[in-house]
Amino acid sequence: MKCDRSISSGVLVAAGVMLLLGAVAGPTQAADLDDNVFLHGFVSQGYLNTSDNDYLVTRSIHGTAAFTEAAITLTAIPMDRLRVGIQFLGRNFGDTGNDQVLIDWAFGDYRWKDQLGFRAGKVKMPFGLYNEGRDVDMLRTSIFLPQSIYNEKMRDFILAYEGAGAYGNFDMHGVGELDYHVYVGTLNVPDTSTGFWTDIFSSTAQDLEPIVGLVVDDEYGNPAGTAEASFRSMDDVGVTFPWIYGGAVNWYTPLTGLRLGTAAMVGRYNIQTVLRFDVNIPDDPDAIPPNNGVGYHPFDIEVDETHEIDHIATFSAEYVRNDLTLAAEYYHDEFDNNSTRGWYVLAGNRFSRLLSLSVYYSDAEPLGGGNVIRDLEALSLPDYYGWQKDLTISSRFDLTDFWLFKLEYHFINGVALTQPRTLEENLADPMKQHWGMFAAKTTFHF
Amino acid sequence: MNIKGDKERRLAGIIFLVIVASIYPGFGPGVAVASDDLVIIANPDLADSAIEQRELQRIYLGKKTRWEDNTSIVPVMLKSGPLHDEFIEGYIDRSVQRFVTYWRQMVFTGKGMPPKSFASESDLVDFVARTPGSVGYVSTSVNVSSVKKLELE
Repeated sequence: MKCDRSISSGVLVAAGVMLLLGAVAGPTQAADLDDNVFLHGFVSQGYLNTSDNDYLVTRSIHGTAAFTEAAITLTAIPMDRLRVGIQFLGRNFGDTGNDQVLIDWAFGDYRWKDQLGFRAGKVKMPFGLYNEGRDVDMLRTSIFLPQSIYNEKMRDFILAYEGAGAYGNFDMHGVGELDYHVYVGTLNVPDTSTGFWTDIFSSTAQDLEPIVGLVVDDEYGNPAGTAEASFRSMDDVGVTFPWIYGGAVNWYTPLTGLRLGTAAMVGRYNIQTVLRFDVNIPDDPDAIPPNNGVGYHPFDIEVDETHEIDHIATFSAEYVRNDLTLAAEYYHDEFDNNSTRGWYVLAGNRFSRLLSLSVYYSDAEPLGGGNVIRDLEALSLPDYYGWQKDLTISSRFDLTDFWLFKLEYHFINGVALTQPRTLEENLADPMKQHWGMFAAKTTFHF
Repeated sequence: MNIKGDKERRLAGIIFLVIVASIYPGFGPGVAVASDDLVIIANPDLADSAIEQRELQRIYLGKKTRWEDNTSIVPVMLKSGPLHDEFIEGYIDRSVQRFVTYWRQMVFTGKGMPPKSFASESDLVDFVARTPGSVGYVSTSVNVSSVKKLELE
């Protein structure tokens, strides 16, 4: 089996430094640099392989170990009520994150009182039950969170905000507790070359191919349909978010262990890019009139658009008791009147110091359900292109207090979340409806 | 649900049932019973002489950060051991692993730091004695004359 073993040098260096510090600090605790300064870290290495269809990363069907995460966290408490911290994260996941160690979060936190505190800087976005810790492997049993809610392609929208927020906890005594976190700010997209930012225009660009051909035909005075245009690439992508705002509320109910929550975000983003097309006017001596401009013609379309994030929202329920976890979430978003929905249910338990198991069923309809089926029929694509249902069984082995290993298998029906392909590719060789993904991962932490 | 393979469906169903079957012993709220082995202690300057279990839970989960006189609360705990496990499971009403995971999430998302921990009970008592606003726990066999004992309400 051919494997992609690219691991960024930066991530390796980060991993080595952390392991060394972890050995110095001891396996189960942070390195206390001072009474008020603390150092933590982790490094994870994974592998995934799909039976059919490329998913999450390109070339997943061949198996890939381009699945590495490493983080260093530094926290200080310089004075009463004030905490400051920063986390550097190196993440190599397929084609994203290579050789980049980024600031995952960095903010100051002033806790004026239990009911009201303030955060300013780059802050993990409160969204759903598990979004804030989505890159921290040791927080859960499964390797991948349910993609119906925690879609990797939507990562840039919900990972972290840069701005200011307010948060707090209300003890409502007989009615439980209420946590809240509201924020306003912007988003920063470190890599526009993959995921949502390429998908957003890939189908649109293909729809533009005949129009580009017509424009070139008109330019050279040829009959319509003479020129053959094909989308080549999307270049010089720039994304900015003028503003976003949102929040999350969690109610810890009087039933011990039961939490209900909701989160939402709205905003606006601007995208600039150049869509590049290859246009060929074939030589046809019998054409009437004779072909003009025979040969290759590059054609560019400059894009500068503003889009509304009408909302991205979740509704969540979680019950935890001892080592048992039951959870369910529902997701809905709307971008410029196009909507996506998804949901999952999950059960997990830690059976011993060594072994934890979980199973979840996730259902994603990223293109909006019923209308999509009609659109797929018009394109002669099968209906399973409009959904992705995922039954995942996960196992976690805590080998020591600071080292764990996971194995996971996904039984998948549908291809809505797979890596994009052209319409021609899909018609010529449709993706498999029923397929699977195997994943393994190990994590060291301190 | 249309997941290909009866075998896969049966496997998932078995795992789900095993997980759910483990629910029954776990249901129901935990109620701390004042242990004969453990005593809650606080800095001598603390005005209160009693504490509710609910208050103790909120303190050790970082949700209650100030005493009524607005002094900063400084919770401390033991690093490990049977007494620590008894405190976390019986008084904080969490499994030890759940408690550890909770604070890992707080640390790696920047939302908080776990209580300071000590390898020995004597070191814990010394810290509580000299640190205003601190609260902790030790076994009843330890000399706690330098700190205040809190009754659990």
